[in-house]
Amino acid sequence: MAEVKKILLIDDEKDFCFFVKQILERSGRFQVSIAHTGETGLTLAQQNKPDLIILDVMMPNMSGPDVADALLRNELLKSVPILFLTALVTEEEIGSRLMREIGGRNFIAKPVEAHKLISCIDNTMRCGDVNCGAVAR
Amino acid sequence: MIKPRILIADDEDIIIQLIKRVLTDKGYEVETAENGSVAVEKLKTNAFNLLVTDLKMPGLTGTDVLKQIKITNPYIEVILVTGYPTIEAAVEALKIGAFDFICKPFDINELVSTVERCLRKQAYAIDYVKATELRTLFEINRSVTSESNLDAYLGRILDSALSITRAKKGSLLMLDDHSRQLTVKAVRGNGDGAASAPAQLEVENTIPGRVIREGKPIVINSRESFDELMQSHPDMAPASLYTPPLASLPLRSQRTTFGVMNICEKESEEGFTEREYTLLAVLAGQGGVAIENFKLYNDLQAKIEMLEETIKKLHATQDQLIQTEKLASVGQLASGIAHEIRNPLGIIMSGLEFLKGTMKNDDPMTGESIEKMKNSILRANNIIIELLKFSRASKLELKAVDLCALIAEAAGLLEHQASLNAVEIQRQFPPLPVLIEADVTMLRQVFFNLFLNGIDAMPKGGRLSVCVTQEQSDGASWAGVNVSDTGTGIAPENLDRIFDPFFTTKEPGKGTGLGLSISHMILERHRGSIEVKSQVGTGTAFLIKLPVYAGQPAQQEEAWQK
Repeated sequence: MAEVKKILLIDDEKDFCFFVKQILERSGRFQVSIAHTGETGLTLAQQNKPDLIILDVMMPNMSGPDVADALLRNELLKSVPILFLTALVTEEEIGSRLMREIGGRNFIAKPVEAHKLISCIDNTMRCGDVNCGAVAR
Repeated sequence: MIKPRILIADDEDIIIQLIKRVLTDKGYEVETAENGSVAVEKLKTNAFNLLVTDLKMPGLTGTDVLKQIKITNPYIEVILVTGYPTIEAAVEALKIGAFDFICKPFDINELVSTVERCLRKQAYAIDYVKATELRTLFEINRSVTSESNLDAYLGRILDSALSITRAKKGSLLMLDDHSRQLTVKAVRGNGDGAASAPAQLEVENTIPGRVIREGKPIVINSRESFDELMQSHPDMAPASLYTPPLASLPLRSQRTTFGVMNICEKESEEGFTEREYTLLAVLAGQGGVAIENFKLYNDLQAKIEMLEETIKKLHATQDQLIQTEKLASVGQLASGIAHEIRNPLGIIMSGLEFLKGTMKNDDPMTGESIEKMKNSILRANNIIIELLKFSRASKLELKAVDLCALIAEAAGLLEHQASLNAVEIQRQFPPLPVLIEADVTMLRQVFFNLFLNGIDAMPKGGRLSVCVTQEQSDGASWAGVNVSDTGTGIAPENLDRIFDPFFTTKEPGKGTGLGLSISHMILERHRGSIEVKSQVGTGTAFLIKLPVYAGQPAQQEEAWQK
C-alpha cells in the first residue's frame, strides 16, 4: 500500500476546494488540507510540510506567484513541488508564457476532470521542480 | 465709318478727273491709274472696294485687269466703261466677274447710281461672308465645351478653316509629350492620288515641327517663297505634302503648344488675306483651347478615379478597423469574464466528479447524465478558451518560414479527416519556397481553421484546393494563398458577417463561431489580409495575402492590446 501523500490546496474558491478535497481523499492516496488565502497557506505549510502544494494563480492580496516566491525563499519548503491552478490562461499558454514568467513548473487549467487532476499531481510529484512538460490537456 | 475706296483706270485724263471729282464729292476715297499696268500695281499694294475701268486702254485692257485682280482679290467689284459697246464685250465682261457695264458717253448720275448699287451689293456680300464666318466661329466656340470626342472636334475645326479660306488641303497634328512626335489627328484633301500624309511626323526638320518649336505661325503666300524656303532648308520634309499658299499655325494655350494646323492649296492662286489669317488664328486658338480642355478633362478624370480608388481603400480600411475593434473588444471582454466563468465551471466539474464517486448503485443513466453534464462544461470552457486567444497580450514569435511547408503541415493534419469526408485536398505550390515571417503556431491554426471549414462545407465530399503564389504589387512582394472549396457556399447576406465573433452557421456545439475571427486577427497581426468570395452551390474561396520576408529584421510588433 502506497504512502498517503499530504497535499495543501490553496485557492480562494471555497466550493472548489471542498469538492477537490473530497475527490482526492476518496482515492485513498491523498490527504488534503485547505487554505483560502496565500497567507494561511504559508502558515499551514510551515506547520505541516506537505508533499505537494496546489496553488491558485489569481487570488486577492497574495497571489499564487507571490506564495511560490515565499516558498522558494523558505529553507524548509523550497523543495516542495507546486502545481499551479488557474482559471485564466489557456492550455497553450500554460505551455509557454506563464512557465517562462513564473518558473518551470506544472500548471493545470480550471475546469479540470478528476483523472486529469490526479495524473497531473502524480507527474508533478514525480518530477519535482523540474519541468517535466507533462501539461494536462 | 471707313470710306469705300475706289480706283479709276482710264487713259483719258479728263474722264478720270471728272469721275474722281464726282465720286469724291459723294464721299468716296478715290485714286486713279492712267493705264492697266498701273491699275494692277495699285490693286496689288492697296485695298480697294471698287475698280471703275475703261475697257479699251493701251497695253492691258480693262478685261485683262479684271481677270488678273479677281485671282488675287476675289472680293473686289469692277465696273467697266467703254465708248464702243458691243453685246459680246458686255457679256464677256459680266462672265469674268464685272458688276456692270456703262457706255460712254455716260450720264454722271447713272455712273453714281451704278457705283452706289455696286457698293451696296458688295457690302451685303461682305456682310454675308462675315456672318457665315462668325456663325462658323460661333458654332466651333459653342461646341468646345460640350465635345467629348477630341478627334471629331479637331476635324470640325479643320473643316471650318478650309471652308472659310476656301483651301483644298489641310491637316491637324497633335504633339505627343513623350515621344516628341506629331500625330495626325485630322486630314483633308490628301486622299486619293495626292501623296498620302504619314500618320506621324518628326518635330525636327518639318514645317509643322518648326511651328511647334518656335510657337509662331508660318505663312507662305507664293510658290516663290515656298521654293525659297525648301531650298534654304533642303532637309525640311516633306515638301510634296504642301502646295502653296501654306499657312501653318500653332494650336496653343497661353503656355503650351499642343499641335499644328496646316492649311494649303487654295481654290484660286491668291495668298491668305489678312482677314483669313485672322480667322485661322482664331480657329487655331480654339483648337488649342479644345486640346487643353481635353487634357485637363482627362487629368481631372484620372484624379477622380484616383480619388474614388482612395475612398474605396479608405472604406476597406475602415471596415478592417471596425472588424479589428470588434475583435479587440471581444478579446478584452473575454479576459475579463474568463476568470469569473471558469471558476464556477471548475466547481461544477469537481462537484460532478464528486457526485459520480458517491453514487452507490451503478445506474448507467446516472453515469451517462454526469458525462453529458461534464461535456457541456467542456463545451462552455472551449468557448472561453477560444475567446482568450483574442486577449493574449503576448508578442508574436516571428521567424522566417516557408509558407508552403507550413500550409502543407496544416493540410497534413487534416488529411485523414478529409478522406473520411470524401474530400480531396489539392495543393499547388510554387517551385521555390515562399519565405514569410510568421508565428508558426498561430499561422498554422489559421490554415487549419480554413481547411476545416472547407471540409465542413462539403458534407457530400468535394475538392479543397490550396494554391500559393508570390506576386508583386505596390512595390512590395506578397504571398497569396487561395483556399477554395466546392462546397455549399455562403449566402450573400452572411458574407459580411463571417469574420464577426460568434457568427456561425454550424449547428450548436459544432463551432464556436470564433475560428474565422481569430484567423482574421492572426493574419492582421502578421500584416496580412483575408478576403472571401462565395457563391451558393458553387463554393467558397478565401484569398489570403501576407508580406514576403525580405530578409530584414521584422518591425517590432506593437503590443496588440493596450
